[in-house]
Amino acid sequence: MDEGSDDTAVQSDGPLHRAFSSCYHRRTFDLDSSLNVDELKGAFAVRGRILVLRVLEPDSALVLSELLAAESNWGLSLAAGFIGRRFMHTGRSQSALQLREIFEAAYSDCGRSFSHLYETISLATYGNPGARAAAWYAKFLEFINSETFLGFVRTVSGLSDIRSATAVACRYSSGHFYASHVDRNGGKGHRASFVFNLTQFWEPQWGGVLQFKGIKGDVAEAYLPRFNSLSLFVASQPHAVSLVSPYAPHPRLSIGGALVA
Amino acid sequence: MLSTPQPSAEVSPRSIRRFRIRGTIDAASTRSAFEANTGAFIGIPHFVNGEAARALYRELRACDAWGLRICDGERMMGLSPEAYGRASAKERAAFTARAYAAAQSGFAFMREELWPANERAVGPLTRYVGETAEAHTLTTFLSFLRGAVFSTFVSAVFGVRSVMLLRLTVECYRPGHFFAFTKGAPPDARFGFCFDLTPTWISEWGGLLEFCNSCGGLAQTYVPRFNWITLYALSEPRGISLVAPFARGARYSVVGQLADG
Repeated sequence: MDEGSDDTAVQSDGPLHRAFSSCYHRRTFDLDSSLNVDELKGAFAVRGRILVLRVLEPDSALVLSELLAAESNWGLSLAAGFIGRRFMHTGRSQSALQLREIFEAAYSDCGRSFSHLYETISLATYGNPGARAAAWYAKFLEFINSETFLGFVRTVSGLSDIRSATAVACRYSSGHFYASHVDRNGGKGHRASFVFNLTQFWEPQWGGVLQFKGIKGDVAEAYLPRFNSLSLFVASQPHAVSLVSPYAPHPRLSIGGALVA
Repeated sequence: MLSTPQPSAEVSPRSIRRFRIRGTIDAASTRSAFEANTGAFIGIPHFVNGEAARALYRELRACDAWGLRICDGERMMGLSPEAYGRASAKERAAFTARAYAAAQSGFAFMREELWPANERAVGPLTRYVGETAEAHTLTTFLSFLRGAVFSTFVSAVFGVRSVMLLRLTVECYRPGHFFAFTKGAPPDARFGFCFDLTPTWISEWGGLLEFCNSCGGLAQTYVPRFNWITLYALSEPRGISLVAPFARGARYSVVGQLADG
């Protein structure tokens, strides 16, 4: 990685430059040193989920947030009952008619079957290996598979057989959502799921809330996508991301994935 | 001339003589639950006798006196049912754009309200109560809300000597409608309630009554339910999430503000 010469336009004397520089010199991302693991463990044990605030040390969160904000390699992931699951590259913009058809397809079955509409990037198979962002993503994958992070999630969750983590970046713009579902990405070994929330400012009225389902379709608990927070939950819990409103002025950015035994 | 709701053919309005709080609802235990929620909110299912709630729902659904009300953060605006009916798609879109623009950065809302033709200012239904035919289920319900049984119950839950009904709105949220987060209230009002009359609803459709906690997270999310009342302190930040474009129906509720009597 070339310090300070990333794809993002980083002013050499700005806080973003310092954040990139800090992460570069440490050669990794890191958790915030003030996390109280015992407290978090107790909270997780109650419902099998937790929202950890200020989870990453500030420079790590800032770097990831800026990388995603500057990203242009998103692909649109669409699922709707009658058409199944599709993935479309959105580097080249779709026509208005295509977009309308995509939204109509996603909306037509929401609530009746598995459905979602959002943009994503696989960090492990990043499509542009020459880009400097690829090196940062590789560093992040190293971080979430390091003992620092895996040990943290094992301790907090009590799921001592977690051995590895996978991750994708997600971008929810206006009209995007993920209807109620249970994570099965890692098959039977999928123990828990995590989401690093990386949108620097988010109002609750803009939607994009991570909702955990209760009995009879109620919402048992909901997490706002607060900057530099980690949503960590047992994979078997039905959950959803609520519709991002048309008046959200910017997208909801996150990196989420599976913690696998 | 007063524009009044027309009861549907499915129900005889004269058959609904009174609303009763369901017998198994106990004010003391409800008060305990309210206190456990830090004195912020409490939801009560199956609040009144079911046949009365069903008659009220049918009456509202069949009503043709819905006008459009929006707030753009600075002022309230609206279209009477007649003007709303005449409004072109372009005119309606202009109202929507105004509300959405305000919601990007602050308080705003957009919904339909039952709209007496002689409305003058805030709280139209406070006037409305005495001016409609006794037989209407809505009038019967509003009389119930002003009566001793409701007042005594609500006072006990809120832990005050008495309450006085100040304002009422009968609201309908259709796709695209919302109420951004606020903790604002007129200085004379201390408590609020939302009586939901939506028979079939799923959380993916939005329209959720959400309360924030002191840390800016979501403390509680209520999915619209039929014959469900939520009592809350007006000091609590609250909002109604955007009703999704794919919602199959409308969210009906009667919302009131109460003074500590």
